[in-house]
Amino acid sequence: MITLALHAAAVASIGLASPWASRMPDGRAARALGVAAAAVSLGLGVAASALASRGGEAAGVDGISSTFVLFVGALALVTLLGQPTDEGTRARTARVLLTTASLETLFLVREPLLVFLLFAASAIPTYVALRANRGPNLVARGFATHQVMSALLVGAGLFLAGDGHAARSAAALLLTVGLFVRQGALPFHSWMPPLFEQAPLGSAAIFVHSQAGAYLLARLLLSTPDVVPTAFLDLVGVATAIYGATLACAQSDARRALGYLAVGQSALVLTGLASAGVTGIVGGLLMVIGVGLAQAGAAVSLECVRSRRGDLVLGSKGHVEVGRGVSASFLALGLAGVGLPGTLGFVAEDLVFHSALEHRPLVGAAMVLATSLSGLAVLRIYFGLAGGERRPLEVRDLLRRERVALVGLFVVLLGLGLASPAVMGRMEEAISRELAHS
Amino acid sequence: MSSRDFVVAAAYVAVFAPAVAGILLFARAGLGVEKRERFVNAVALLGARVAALAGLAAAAAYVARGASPIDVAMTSWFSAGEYEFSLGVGIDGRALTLLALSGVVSLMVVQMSVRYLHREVGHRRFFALLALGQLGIALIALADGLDLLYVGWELVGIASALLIGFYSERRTASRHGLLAFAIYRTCDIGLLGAIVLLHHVSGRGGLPDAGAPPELAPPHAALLGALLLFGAMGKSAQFPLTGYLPRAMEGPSPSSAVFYGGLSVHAGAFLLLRTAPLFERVAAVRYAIVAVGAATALHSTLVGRAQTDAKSQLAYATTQQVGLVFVEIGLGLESLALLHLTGNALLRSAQLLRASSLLEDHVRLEADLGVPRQRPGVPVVRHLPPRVEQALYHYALERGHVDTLAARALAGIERLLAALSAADRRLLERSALGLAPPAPEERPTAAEDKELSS
Repeated sequence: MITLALHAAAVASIGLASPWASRMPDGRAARALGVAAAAVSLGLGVAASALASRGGEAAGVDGISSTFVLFVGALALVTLLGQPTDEGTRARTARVLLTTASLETLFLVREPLLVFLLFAASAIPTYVALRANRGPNLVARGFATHQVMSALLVGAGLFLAGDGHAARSAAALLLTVGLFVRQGALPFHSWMPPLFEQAPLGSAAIFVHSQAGAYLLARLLLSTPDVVPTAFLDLVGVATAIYGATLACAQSDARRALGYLAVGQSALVLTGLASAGVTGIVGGLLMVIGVGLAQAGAAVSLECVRSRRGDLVLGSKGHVEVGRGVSASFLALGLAGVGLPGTLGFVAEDLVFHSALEHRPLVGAAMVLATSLSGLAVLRIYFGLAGGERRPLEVRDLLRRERVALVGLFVVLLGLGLASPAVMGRMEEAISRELAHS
Repeated sequence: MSSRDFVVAAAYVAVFAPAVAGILLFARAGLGVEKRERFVNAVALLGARVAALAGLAAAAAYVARGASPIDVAMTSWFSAGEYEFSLGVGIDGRALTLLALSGVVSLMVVQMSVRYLHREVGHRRFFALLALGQLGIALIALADGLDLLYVGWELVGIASALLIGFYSERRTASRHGLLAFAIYRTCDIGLLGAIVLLHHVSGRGGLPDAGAPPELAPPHAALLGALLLFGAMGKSAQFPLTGYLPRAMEGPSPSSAVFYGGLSVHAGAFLLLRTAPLFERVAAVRYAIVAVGAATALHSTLVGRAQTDAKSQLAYATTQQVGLVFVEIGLGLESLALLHLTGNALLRSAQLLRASSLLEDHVRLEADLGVPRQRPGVPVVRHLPPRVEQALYHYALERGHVDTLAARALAGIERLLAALSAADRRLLERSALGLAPPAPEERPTAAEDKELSS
């Protein structure tokens, strides 16, 4: 009961801060409120997880749910700490808090109607952020088209699920395709790169990297592993991973390149889940966390570059060199997002990789190619950003809050990687239990 | 403390010393602590000295106790389901040779870099990356399985690419850093593929000891050998990938010495030495290793003679000798290969460190003598028929046309990616967004033209 109350308080602290943030006198105050709310929510989430690990698990909230609530709280904290101060800060803070609250609730509930409503609602703040752009808003409309399609398919899948094998299979297929759309898997990837290009990077990062689609897919696999088309999942996952990583290497804009990297890395999660075994599902979910946090941090560091330089064009002649700390933070977090040894991303990739090769060696071999290309894309972005003409800038290197967010995040990812057994312990237990039941 | 424990403890110290130095330097950079050269120098020197002493002490104690291999069973790093990542360490003559070599070369380089990089922008970054690379080499040396070896392999690749692009204000430096990293990543597919295969057929990533009975069926061993050879070719710049090595000299000379004269370029040969028991009974793999090594040695000998700068000449001299080391491995002369590798690494590192001041000395010498210094020796090609000599000269000047072919292939890939990217963008903007593409303006027909004009 106490655990559940702590989880509820964690969600409430974030959800209630959202309307306040938009009414704060200026951007700095809004950001401070948002950071405080995210920190409180994270603290309450940690307390709830600690209680649960000592036997006080709340009904319906297992190790997977509580880990994902912590993960989204951490994502919010990093994106809020790193966002620049301008006239849009208040609105951005409010939207990030609202998205976080809806996602945290989604991870805590199991009731189909609530899952459907929260899944659909979590996309609204990001759509509003895109609508705020001036001019003909193709990206916002494209984003809306895909998210509505995803929500309708997921909703249909949730409500059509019956007792018979045929009904369950049909429902699983609808859910899988709906979640593919949310994950940006081929051929439904087209909304993701422009989202990174045109939405505030914080909003894009929290919406994409929270990977609600992967979470629900894992739940689906754990409850009805026999009806989920796992071969289809594998094929789409690997094809998308290679496609995303390849196109990330060919972009001239860093934000767009990051969008393609997100497409590729989100798809790798699918290959982990497709194994439908403990190793693969643990690896896939760890990948959501390790890679999601790292890539969100990389997005924040790109925002730092943009706020200093004005653009994120790669390799343009005569652009101003930003501080070494800014570009180095992108490099460190970008590499952590593609499996830098020692970090949580490495652990996750290793598990997904071995699980894939055990079930389908060719998929494992294709993953190798995708991972290699992703690493190359990160280094290409880094070299494109790190060079440049040395000119005096008002703010060259990282500000204190940016340093806390980015360096702190890298240390956390390294710590979680080195102490990964502690991170995956409760998740593995929950997954093994659910697989045994199903 | 028994002699076995001493060897193990000293080997661990040789691994952890650069790790601690690197963590200290990266942590101060991360915290934004003001850069102080003295502190950075002291940390880097201390780390390098401790690692070198520990590596040499471990090697000496190992020899003193009779040179019998030591397996250190360690717990796994992480596990899920039936899979676990083992942190097993294997200490034998090969491992300790590379460990001691890495310590000595790194110490030599750090000692020189303290002056070479005095007041240079990126002074701390240089030493931190150097420590990261040294840690990677130490992990490669001691890993008892391909999983842990891959960790070290990746660290070396990242540190090496970042040091090539050290002078970020030079566009060529970034480009060459990226080129080296692209080659590393491409060839890493071989190593990762080998890990996949080894786990798939044997259920674990551990490496057998030298002389152990074969564990794999011949087809598996052949494929594994081919994948490992491909993995080794990238780091060791073997033919046809030799061309990136002179370009990799774009970084500061001391880092060129440690990576492309000393350690990184020999890591591929070490990988083959370490994994030789897996494929040594498959003749095809051994022939392939000999062929690659011989082709590299021949190509580098010819091309190296037409180079006009000292670093490029040294780069080709290095690959020439590494090619011969490959030949020795392929012929099963593993002890000779290890000795050759060690000697070449020490010699080339020293030559690369000395190169810039040697050129200065020669200029002074020639100025004092008043006549150009005489080059010793007569090139062998002078004894060949003129047409053959000319053809070989063209081959050498064009670096065997390999770079031209690679540049064309890369340009083709770039065009393909650009086309794919443009097509994707059109898809995003027109069809995938659920919007009809803007209707093209229709040209009026001839009849309509007439009507309009009337």
